[in-house]
Amino acid sequence: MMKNITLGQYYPADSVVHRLDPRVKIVLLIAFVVAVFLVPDLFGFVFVVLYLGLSCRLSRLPVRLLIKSIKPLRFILIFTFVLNLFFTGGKTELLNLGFAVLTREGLLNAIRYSLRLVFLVLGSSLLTLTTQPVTLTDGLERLLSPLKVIRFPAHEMAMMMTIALRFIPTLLEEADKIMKAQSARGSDFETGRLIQRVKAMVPLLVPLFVSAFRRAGDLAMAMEARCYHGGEGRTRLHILKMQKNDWIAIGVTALLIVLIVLEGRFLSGYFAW
Amino acid sequence: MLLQFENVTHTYQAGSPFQATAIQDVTLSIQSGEFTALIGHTGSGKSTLAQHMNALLSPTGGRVLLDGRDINQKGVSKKETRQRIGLVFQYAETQLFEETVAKDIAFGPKNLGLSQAETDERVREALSRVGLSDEIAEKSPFELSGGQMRRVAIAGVIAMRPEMLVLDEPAAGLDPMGREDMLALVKSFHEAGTTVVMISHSMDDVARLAKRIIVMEKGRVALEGTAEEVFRDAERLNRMDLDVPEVCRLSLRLREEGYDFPLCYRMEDAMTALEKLLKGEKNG
Ligand SMILES: Nc1ncnc2c1ncn2[C@@H]1O[C@H](COP(=O)(O)OP(=O)(O)O)[C@@H](O)[C@H]1O
Ligand SMILES: [Mg+2]
Repeated sequence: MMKNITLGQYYPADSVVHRLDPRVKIVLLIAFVVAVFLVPDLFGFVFVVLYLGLSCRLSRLPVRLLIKSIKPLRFILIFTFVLNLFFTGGKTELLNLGFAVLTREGLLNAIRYSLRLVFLVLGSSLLTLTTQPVTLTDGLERLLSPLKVIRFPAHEMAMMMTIALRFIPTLLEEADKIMKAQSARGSDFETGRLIQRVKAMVPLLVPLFVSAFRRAGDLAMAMEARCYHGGEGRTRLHILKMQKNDWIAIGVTALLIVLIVLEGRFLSGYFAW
Repeated sequence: MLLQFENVTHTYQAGSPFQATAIQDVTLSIQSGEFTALIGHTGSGKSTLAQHMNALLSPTGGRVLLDGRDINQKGVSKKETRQRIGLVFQYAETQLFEETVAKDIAFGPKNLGLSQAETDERVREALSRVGLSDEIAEKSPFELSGGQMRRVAIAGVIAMRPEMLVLDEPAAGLDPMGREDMLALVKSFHEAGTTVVMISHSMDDVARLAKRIIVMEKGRVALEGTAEEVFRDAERLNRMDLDVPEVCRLSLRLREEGYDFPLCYRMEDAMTALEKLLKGEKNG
């Protein structure tokens, strides 16, 4: 029924980016983060913008959706900007406000750090917008599975995450139904003072917990009945194989890093910012 | 009391890539004292329609009128609407939450702001109306059987003394005995003067109880009329993958074979008609 609710922010579409191997996408995001931190000057961000623009284009995401992902961060952004603006120090004075001095270095730093933040968020959003949470977990499990040698429970972690993700829509649907059922009995969830509102949650939470526990029990039983016993010796339904596109994506990202490093090496001297 | 739907449309999550139109352009009316059945396949929009009846959902297009007033208008009390039109959800037993049965049933009356004495009175009355004994009142609802829990949940709605009761698949998931009891219970509410709308996907259940039947298909009202009218159109129902009741199929078949047989949709009527037919054969 509500299987369709957006979890995280996945945006369903059929694109090359959506189809990339989740492992590759995770690693590429890490590489992208590194690249953003390697950017030496404002000019370097041009490459980052081009890279993001290309990815966004290829993934067929509406640009506004990507931009929207920055919104929750606006206060942190403003904070970062202001903090860097006034506390960087530096010599070249631009504006003296009396209580604070605006320097050229401060301004550049403020822009650089804010841009970094923006690009980090855009990059990660690109990943979560184009990858289903369950696929992402799957990719993560495989990336972490070498750590099994040091007894890191990669499979169990992934299974727990997958199950949790799987049941969030179910629980939301259930919560919606119970809320409506109690509203039909005259319950009011919307108005009233804080205490009243907290009280109004009891008729919602009790049935929700009861049903969640029942579901968890049923699921455990159903899994055991089908011989689930953890990750040991378990084979996979979907075997991930690197495709041509995965290699191309890796290549493009490598190019981004190379360009940024080269720019820092040879060009940054020419731009004083 | 008169409940009217005027070209009601509801789209879930409108504007998102997941938007789904659950009901479309539904126009119907339900009058005081009627027993109406709402029937249709899973996903045909029955539950969505039901939730519009007491303003739990508001239409994305069209209007719902109660005694001529739009119930979703500003200034129209939702609480009052919900008191007048009680809605029992499918698997209503999942909404129980209180420590005792009595407290759970009292939830509705308390929300209406009734006094303790009045509430107690209503709890007792509701318990007896759903056929549960007073001893159960102080038990935890979670100790009861599934069928009993559902009755408690129904009592919780009855305790608000609604003029109209909407029941979403009240017999779903019960064993055959439980089904019979539940249907008898619904019938008793109607006989006591409550207007009843029962959602179901069992034609046999509906045929036995409802005077009026509304058939939903893919979010639209596909057929509407008295039981006779609706079941006469067996072919159309079959096309919608809905069965006519078994007795109805029998009478249609007999008519096809050229017998002079009335269109029956209740077992008793079919029996009488059959008896008459058999006697006639013997004599003639
Ligand atoms: N809360 C919801 N969110 C999104 N879609 C829903 C929701 N509830 C129902 N639907 C969809 O609306 C359609 C009608 O559902 P419903 O009214 O429950 O039908 P019925 O009760 O006849 O089975 C279905 O396609 C269903 O998937
Ligand atoms: Mg339903």
